[in-house]
Amino acid sequence: MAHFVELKQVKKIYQMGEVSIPAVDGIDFEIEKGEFVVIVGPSGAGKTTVLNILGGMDTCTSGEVWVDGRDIGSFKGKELAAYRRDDIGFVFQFYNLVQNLTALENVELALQICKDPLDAEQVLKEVGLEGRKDNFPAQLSGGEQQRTAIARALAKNPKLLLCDEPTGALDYNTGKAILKLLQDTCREKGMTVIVITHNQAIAPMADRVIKIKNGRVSRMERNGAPVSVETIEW
Amino acid sequence: MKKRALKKEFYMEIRKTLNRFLSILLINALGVAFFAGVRASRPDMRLSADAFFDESSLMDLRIMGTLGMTDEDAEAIEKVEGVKEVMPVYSIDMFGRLSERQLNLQVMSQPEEMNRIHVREGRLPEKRDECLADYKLLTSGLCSLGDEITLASGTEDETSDLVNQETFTIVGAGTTSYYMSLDRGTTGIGSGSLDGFLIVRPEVFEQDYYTQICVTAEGARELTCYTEEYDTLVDELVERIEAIEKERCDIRYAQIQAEGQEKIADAEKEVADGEQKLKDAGTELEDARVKLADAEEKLADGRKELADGEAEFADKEKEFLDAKQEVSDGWSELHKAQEELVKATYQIHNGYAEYEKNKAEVDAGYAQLAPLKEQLSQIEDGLVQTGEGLARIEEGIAQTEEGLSEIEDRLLEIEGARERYEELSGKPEDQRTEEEKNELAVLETAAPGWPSIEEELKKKQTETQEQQAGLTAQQTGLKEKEAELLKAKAELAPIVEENTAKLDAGAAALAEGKRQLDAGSDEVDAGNRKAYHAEQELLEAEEELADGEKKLADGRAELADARQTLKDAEAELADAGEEFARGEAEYEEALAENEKTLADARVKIADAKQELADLKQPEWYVLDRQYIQTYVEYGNDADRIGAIGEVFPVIFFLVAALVSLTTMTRMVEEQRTQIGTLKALGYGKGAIASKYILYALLSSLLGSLLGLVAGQKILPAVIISAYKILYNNLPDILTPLNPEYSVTAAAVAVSCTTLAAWAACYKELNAVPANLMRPAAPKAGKRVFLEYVGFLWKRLTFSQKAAVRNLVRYKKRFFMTVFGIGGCMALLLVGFGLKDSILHIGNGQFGDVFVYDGTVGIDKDADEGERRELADRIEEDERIAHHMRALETAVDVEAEGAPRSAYLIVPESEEELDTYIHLQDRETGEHYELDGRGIVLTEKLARLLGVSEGDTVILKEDDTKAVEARVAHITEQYFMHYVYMSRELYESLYGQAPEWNQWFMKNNRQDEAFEEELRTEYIQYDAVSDVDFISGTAKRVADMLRSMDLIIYVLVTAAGLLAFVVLYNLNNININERRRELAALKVLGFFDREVSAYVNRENVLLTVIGTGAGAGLGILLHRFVIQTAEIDMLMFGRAISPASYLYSVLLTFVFSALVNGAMFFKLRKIDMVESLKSVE
Repeated sequence: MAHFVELKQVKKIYQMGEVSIPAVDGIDFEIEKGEFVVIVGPSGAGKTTVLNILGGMDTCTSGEVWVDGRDIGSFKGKELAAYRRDDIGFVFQFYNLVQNLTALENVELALQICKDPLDAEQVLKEVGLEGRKDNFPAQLSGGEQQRTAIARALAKNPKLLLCDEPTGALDYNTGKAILKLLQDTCREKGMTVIVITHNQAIAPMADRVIKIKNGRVSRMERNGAPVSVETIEW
Repeated sequence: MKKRALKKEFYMEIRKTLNRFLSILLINALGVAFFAGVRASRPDMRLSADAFFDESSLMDLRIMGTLGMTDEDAEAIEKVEGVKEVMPVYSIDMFGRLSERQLNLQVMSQPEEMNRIHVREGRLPEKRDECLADYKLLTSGLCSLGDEITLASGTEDETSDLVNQETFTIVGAGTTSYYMSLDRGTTGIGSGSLDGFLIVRPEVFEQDYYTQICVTAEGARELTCYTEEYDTLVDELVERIEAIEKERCDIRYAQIQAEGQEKIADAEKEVADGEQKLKDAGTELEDARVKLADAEEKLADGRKELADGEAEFADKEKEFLDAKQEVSDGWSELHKAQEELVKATYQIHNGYAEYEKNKAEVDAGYAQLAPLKEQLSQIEDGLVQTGEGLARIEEGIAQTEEGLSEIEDRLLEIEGARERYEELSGKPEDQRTEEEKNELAVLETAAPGWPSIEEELKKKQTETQEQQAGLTAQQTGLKEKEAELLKAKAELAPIVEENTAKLDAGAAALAEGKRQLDAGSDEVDAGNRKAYHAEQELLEAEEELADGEKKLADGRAELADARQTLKDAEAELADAGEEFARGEAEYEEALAENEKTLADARVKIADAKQELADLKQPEWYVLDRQYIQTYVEYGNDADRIGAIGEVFPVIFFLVAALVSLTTMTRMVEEQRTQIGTLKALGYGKGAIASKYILYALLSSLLGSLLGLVAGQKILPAVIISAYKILYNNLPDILTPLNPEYSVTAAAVAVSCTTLAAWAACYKELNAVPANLMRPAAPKAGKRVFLEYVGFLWKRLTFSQKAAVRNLVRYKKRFFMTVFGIGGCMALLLVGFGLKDSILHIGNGQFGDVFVYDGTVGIDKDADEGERRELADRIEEDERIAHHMRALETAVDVEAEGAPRSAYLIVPESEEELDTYIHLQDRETGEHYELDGRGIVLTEKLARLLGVSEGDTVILKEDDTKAVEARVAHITEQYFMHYVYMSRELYESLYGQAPEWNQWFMKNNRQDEAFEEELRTEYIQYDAVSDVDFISGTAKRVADMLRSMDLIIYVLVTAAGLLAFVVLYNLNNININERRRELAALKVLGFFDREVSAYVNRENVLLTVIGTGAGAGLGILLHRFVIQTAEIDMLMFGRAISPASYLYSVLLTFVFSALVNGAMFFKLRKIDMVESLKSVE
């Protein structure tokens, strides 16, 4: 088995009438299991598209997407949904918690559909929300909500944790705390975490940094000595 | 909107959100259509009827007098203010007999100015013997054009007193606005209910007074009937007419009195006439007796004459026979003579034959003799010839000698001449004298020839000498021959002479025989002639005999004739005698009868006098249209639809308003950012709000317009056509747009929606732009009440918990959906429930109440024997399992208020009644028995009359008979009204035993063929007037109630539409609102199925709750509809069957499932990328 995650010449071309707009124009990269990966790039570079494809939310026009030995690039509707539910944990910029459910219930919501879930309360405890588990999202702060979201993603026990600008809607300190949580999760659980951000500053904390520009990987580097997030300032 | 950009944006908005626009439009259309449509049904029904009434000029009121109406009354009424037209008419209820049926008919005079007949087939009667029949009779197959119908009085009156024409040809069929439905009301004759009407020429009626005077009111035509204005106008006219009643009635009373007196006088005179007639008849009878005696005498004379004639004929006949014998003898004699003659003729014939034979022999003898005779005569001839030859030879010898002498003379002459010549020549000349000279000259010339001549003569002399020698030889031969002949002659002559003598003797004998034969022949000829004469004479005699015979035959024929004539005369006389006897008997009988009649007449006259004395002052009944049954029923039906229209459409309206409100609210919420942006750009509140208000206004206005046109055109038409099954005469359905309902409905719909839009933007418009630009804080989650009920909450699965919370979270949606689904469920339940209720009329009526199979009606006019015959047949008929006689008659039942038509049933046996009809309480099922204490009323009748057990009602059969009875029980009944009474009670109330006119039957079989067979057989009995089967009635009821099916379909369709529009709309909103949440769920890995289950779980819950609520609402609505929609004659079942609940629930679920199914695709289309977007 080669790499845990490997993208080969992945392309996503949107056909708008007669004009073809390539959002992703032949991306190649690979990620090893248990890595903390940061994908950076300016707005519109195609990083979100990559994330969508990687997260099974979208399909690529051509190319191969290998995740844990399976080419999800060839998956369709239901296979993709199964892939999402079993292999992927997703953390949104805007948390996307179900407003009508408490923190605990939001986590449980995800567990409903999993084959091999973790204990919801335990996960909440790990993300530090032990005392807030019965609160509704509206009663939680942004950071708490994002923690809940991370808990929801982690509780599914996924192979891959994808985070789309997880700190985008949070203040500096909270953002740092969330990144810390993600890094810790990676380190402690051996979870492969991919964070998408436009914030170059957090690159040093990653095991691997992939820079995307104009729909191509402009640079990919392995960071031999990732630093702890606490040491990074931006 | 002056701003172009905004305007453009507005149009774009509509195009982009066409779904939403259309859903507002549609829900408004639906609400308005139902509101305006159902409400317009009542005025439309009234208008349609009014147009029909106006077209046929239905009278506004009619006046009936207890003693009839006269032309003078009509004139007086016409003068009353407000009366437009009057029309006196005759109308009598009579029996109409068709080939095999008897009908109860209302015979009316042909109307002219009003109550015009709408001719459907054929034409109006033009002659006295023509009539127009009720179209109903034609359509129900009772009669057809060209049939003959015979009228007969249904009362004690003589038919000829009522009409002067009894048989009519049906020339047309028509309808009248007086009868809009198929019901023709009750009558005092026959079975008690009318079968139809019959229009005849007015001159057919014999009565000298009119039955009623019909009146139209001035100005009534312009008003719509059933309205207050119309009722007021007519009521006032009624009062004015009633004002002249007293005066007219007094006049009528006096007139009747006068007429009565006159009639009595006439009757008395008639009695006198009758007596006189009887006397005359006696006289006539005597005359006849005398005439009969004369005839007998004449007959005796005739007989004698005949005897004489016969004797004479016998004489003549004898004479004839004698003559005939004579002729016959003559004939036989003649024949004998003729025979002899034939014999004689034969003999003669033989004689002749022999004579001929002998004669031939003689002749042969003569023939043998003839050669001998010939020889002889030849010999004699030879002799003669020989003699002659000898003579001639002698003559020849003589001649030869003469010739020899002449030659010698000549030779001498020549010698003489030569001697002279030589003489003369020797004389010398001068010596020669003259004569000698001449002589010499001649001798000189002749001298040369003298030698030749002499030569010749010498030659000749030798020849002759030779000739002379020949002749002498011949003479010798002949002389020898002659000798020979003489010798033969001597031999032959004696033989010939002997034979000739013998033959001559035979010939003489033959001649003698022939003479004798000739004589015999002559004799026979004479005999023949005689026989001929005798025959001739006999023939003549025979001819004479033939004449005689003919004459005799004539005589015989004459005699036979005479005998026949006599016989005829005898027969005639016998007949005459018989007739006379009969006449005499008749006379006796008539005498007895007439005397009785006369006595009766005298009694009648006395009665009439008494009656006249007792005659009550007449009264008038001024009856407006409220007394026309179908008019009232139709009005009630219209009111019922009106009542339904009060409640039903409100549901739709509420739903429409709520849907519009949510939709608009959602629209404004969705466009929060845009509102903020516009505000930030500096647009005024009005400009911003106008978009939403206009959007709402436009969609609701268009929807309203569509709805009110469609609703008011379609719904009343559907409802009225449903009623047309009942009111089949109603020709046209008018569905004009009703301005009042149109404007109200549209205004309410438009203002509701627009206000909702305004209210929705009001809040947003007041916020500061900055606030608006920020996403609205998501609605916070809340604990719901249920969570505190720990034991229950814990049992719910996680998804159920989520669903419950969601439901509570979106309260508006919750209520709206529950309301929509509840409405749908309620409408379906009402629809199916109505069908149940209607079906129950048939099932309940003919399954639980009327359990008999059929009835056999007994003819009112049947006599005891005929009734007995029928009874025997029914009793022994094995096909009829049970049978019972009963009285069934139409009655009017009255408590307080208007009377109701019903049928009174009196069973022969109270105990047996239960076999045919169950008397029982509908709810408790308690069984009732008839007893002498009171009557049993059917449920609907009791309710219409407003009476309950223990109350008293009045039963009227006609104007004269009215009895009061206590209501003992009220029994289950669904179709028509009945009053049940025990025999005992009937006898005590009416003072007479009930006259059975009906057999109730319970049969072994119920199939159509069996019933038809039974009907065909029984209808032939004289005592049977009709044979009816429950199956037939049940079918009629079912037909009648089909009208309701249509309304049910309308309800089910409406329910479906409602459910669909509401659910679709709400689900749409729901999904739009929760787009992010659903997208996030998808990202989490929920399958499409699970996502839609997540949403649908809520919908299913809502559907369940809505269905439950709808069931409750439906039960209430059903009850309301049943009570308002049922017509007087019927009582619907009150219960809704479990199946109907099931159907309603299932259908509601199906509608809901359909919408959710449609949503599945919408859910699938939700893009997961949505979840990544920031909140708008």
